[in-house]
Amino acid sequence: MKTLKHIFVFLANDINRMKRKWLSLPLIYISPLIFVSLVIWMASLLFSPDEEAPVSVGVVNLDDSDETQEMVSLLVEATDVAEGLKLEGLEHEEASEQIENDDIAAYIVFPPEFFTKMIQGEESRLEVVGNPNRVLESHVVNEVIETVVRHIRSSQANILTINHYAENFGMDADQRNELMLNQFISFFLQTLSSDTMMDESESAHHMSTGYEYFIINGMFIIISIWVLVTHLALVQDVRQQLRNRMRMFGATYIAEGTAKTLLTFTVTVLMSILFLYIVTKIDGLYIVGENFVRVSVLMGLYITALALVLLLIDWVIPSFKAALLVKAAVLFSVLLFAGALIPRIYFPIYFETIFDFSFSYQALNWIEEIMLGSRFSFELDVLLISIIVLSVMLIAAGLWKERRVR
Amino acid sequence: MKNLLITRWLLLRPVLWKVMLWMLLPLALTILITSAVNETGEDFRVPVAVVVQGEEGEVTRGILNSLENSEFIRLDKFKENEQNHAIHQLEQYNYDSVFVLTEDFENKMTNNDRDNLVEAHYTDRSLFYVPVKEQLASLMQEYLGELAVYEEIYSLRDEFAPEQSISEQEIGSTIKTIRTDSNLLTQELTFQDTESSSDYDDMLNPWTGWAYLTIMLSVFMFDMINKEYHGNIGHRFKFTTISHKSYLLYSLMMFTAVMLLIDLTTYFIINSMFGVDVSLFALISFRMFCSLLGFLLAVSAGSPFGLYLSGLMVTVVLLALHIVMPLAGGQAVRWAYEYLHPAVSLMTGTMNLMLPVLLLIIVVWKGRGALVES
Amino acid sequence: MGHLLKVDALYKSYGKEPVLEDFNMQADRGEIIGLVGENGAGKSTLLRIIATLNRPTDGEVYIDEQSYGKNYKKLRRKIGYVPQEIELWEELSVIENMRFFEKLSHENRSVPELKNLLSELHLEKYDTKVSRLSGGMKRKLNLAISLIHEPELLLLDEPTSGIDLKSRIEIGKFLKGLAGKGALIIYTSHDMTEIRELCDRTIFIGKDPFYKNILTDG
Repeated sequence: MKTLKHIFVFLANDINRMKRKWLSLPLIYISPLIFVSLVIWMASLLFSPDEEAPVSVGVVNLDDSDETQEMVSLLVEATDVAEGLKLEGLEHEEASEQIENDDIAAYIVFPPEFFTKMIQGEESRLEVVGNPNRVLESHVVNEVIETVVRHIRSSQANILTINHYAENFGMDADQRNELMLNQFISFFLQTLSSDTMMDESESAHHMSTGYEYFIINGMFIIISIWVLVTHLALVQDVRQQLRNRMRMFGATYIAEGTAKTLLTFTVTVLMSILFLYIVTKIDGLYIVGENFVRVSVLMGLYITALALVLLLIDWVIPSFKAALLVKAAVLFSVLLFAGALIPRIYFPIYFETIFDFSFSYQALNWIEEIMLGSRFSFELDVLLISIIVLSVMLIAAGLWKERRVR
Repeated sequence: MKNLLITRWLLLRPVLWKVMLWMLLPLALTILITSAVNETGEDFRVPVAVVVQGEEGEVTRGILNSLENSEFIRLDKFKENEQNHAIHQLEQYNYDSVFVLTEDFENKMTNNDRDNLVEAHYTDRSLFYVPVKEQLASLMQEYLGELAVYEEIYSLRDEFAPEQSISEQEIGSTIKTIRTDSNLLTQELTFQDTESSSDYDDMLNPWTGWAYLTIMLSVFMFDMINKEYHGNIGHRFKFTTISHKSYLLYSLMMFTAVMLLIDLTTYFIINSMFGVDVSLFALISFRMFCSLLGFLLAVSAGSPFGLYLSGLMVTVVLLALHIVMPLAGGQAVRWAYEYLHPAVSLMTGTMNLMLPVLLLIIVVWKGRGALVES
Repeated sequence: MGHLLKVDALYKSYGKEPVLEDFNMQADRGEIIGLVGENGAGKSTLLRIIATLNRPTDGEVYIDEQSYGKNYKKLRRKIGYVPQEIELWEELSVIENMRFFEKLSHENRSVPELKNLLSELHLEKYDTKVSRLSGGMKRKLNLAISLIHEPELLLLDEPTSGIDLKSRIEIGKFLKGLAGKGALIIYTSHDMTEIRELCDRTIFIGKDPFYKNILTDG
């Protein structure tokens, strides 16, 4: 029971220390919130296949040839490839000006002698000039043009082959040119209408949207960072002399460690539950009371396991510097193998086993299933076993450290 | 100067191996992380399922093979009776997308019928649906295109040189040769009024990783300065030929010089291992930034603990800003990134404008309290 | 010839709290002077002012008839100050600590000279790391470093606090030797026996009559 008393003493001491830092604590808890939210929002913008309002793009033709002019007008008229894009033919200076005035997101430039070079298999480059004020949109435009170019490139080889044989067969130059143009346009049109090949449908099995998925992941990451931050706020470089005094009173590493874990757990869990409550106010993320408890349990167990991992690192690595570095790396790995940074399905197969044993993956996965997949159950085996194993390791480490000091 | 070197050496000797380790750690970690990412990076694939409803003919097989050999797709094939299972897996988010090759796929392809050949299914979490769809569409287009080529060539042959005989294989290999030999159409994205930055093919540019590791570990390494500055021993410097602050600044210079040597080694190693270059001028400027930053944090932090935490925080904040950069609109913001953000300055080869600011702060710090304390 | 050290109407306050009020003293080469007084009387403050580490609120200090004023940096070369706290490089050995400060000192001393100085203090564990030394040895080293540049005025703030009798005696003998060679030594301590044995005269600082009475009672 002396140990229990010591735990309370350490707990009280740790709480006092945290209280002294009460001014800076809100800052260090809120900054991960802001930072992660920003990054998640950005990621969702880049990845979400949602359609946005049409992006205005200019098309500049520097080639005098009729052939290119015909191609350009086709491009401008065609809307299939330009899903979400609105194309407009412009003069070069006009296009430049419109970028300055922030009227268009980008313009495409067909260089001089575009067509001639193309059919002769000479190097030619289609330039996309982006608006530096609309970087993201410019990239989207670039992606679309890349697709078109890719198709044209493969068509180009085909057309040049036809040209090659046509020449062999003795067709004259003028006739060949006309043939090339027609072929080109035919291929070009086919490229632009490639979407008819596929019948696309979004699987609408679930009620949630991709955006909510990102929010859950973001929440998970933020909670993990809070565990680290709380742990660091409590860790101190205890001087050897002070340690000696503590030992004289029979206080052990284990008592100290228990107190730290308890406090880290309590503070982070309270904040996480509050966070969860706020998150469930978002449309699409509402969950019933029973599930709220389930998610809280998952979060609580995850926080415990993570807190134990950090404490273990602290005890095993004597240098505070090195321990800090390792903790940051471990936190990153825990998040990576939770699937919070990159979803599990994209990982190479040889990582599968790690996920099966990852307590963070079990936690996040079930949180997602419950909050996004309307599940009413969960599994806790990996989490519980991890906590038990970590506790045993910590007790062993604690005992070893006590023995060593003697 | 010699005395300063000797005294600093006296202080370093007991902890030399530790200091060397920390000095070399950025390079070591950079190599480790970059290699690991480049090695495993290729194995990260998009899981895609394909259901073949009809018979798997030559065309179908050809396209599926190409898809399977694609570097970024991990393909699972299913038969018609397994379609529901595949779709169900998709709904469980175990696939990024599912493509169903309809009953008449083989037929339609061989007859150049382009309508509704494939049913494409995706979810709200299909991050790579579009590129995969494009890939499949390209493959189909390629095949259909070739078919059209044969048709056209044969029709031309019949019109102009009916006596000639050409096989499909011949035409096929001609297409391949032309594809590889010709300089075909390319495309490039630039931004108005800005210089284009160079592209790096591999997954992770080692210099980016190195930059952030260096920023953080440089700050860590100045814990020695922190302990010296805040320790008792500073009082003794009142009676020496050089003030404590001057002594510390000389130490800063010595340390920076040593680190620059290590950076030069790093430069050659990273260049030879990964073939990625960076401007030497920017590298020097970056190192000076890290040294000055580490020093300033060391003299401001109350304890080594505080120093390490601020080092970690500064690194995380800079990393966050770097990640958010693509969102940045406006010339001014982009300019700020290029000239003020140390890692971005390094990658773009410019001098960091925070350097003179940090130098100024150090000058002010040196000048303060130059008089006897009261 | 004037006095080596002269303190004139020294006044020092922190905020509104006066620590030293109208303090005067004069001292010459070869003297060992004891400063006594209760805790908080201002002994350490006085020593620090004389050592040029603190500025007086009012009053003047002179060394060799030069007032501190703007000369303080130059005058520091004549002063040796042994602080109450141990100010050493814990990770370095005894001789490494000496070498370190010798390199930054205004005087050049060879390693044998440094070792000589140490052996005069009976500190011969040259290669032992400071962290492994006993309290007494650390105090001796603390003193030795302040003597590297052969100061004319030596100020010691409780230099024998918490050390063994033998070391105390050794330090006392050594200081007497220094005074014999012409150094002026000002010494603070709570140990009256030590003060009586070592010092030529004693100056009382503070307000507590207890200390004053002990002095006069002898």
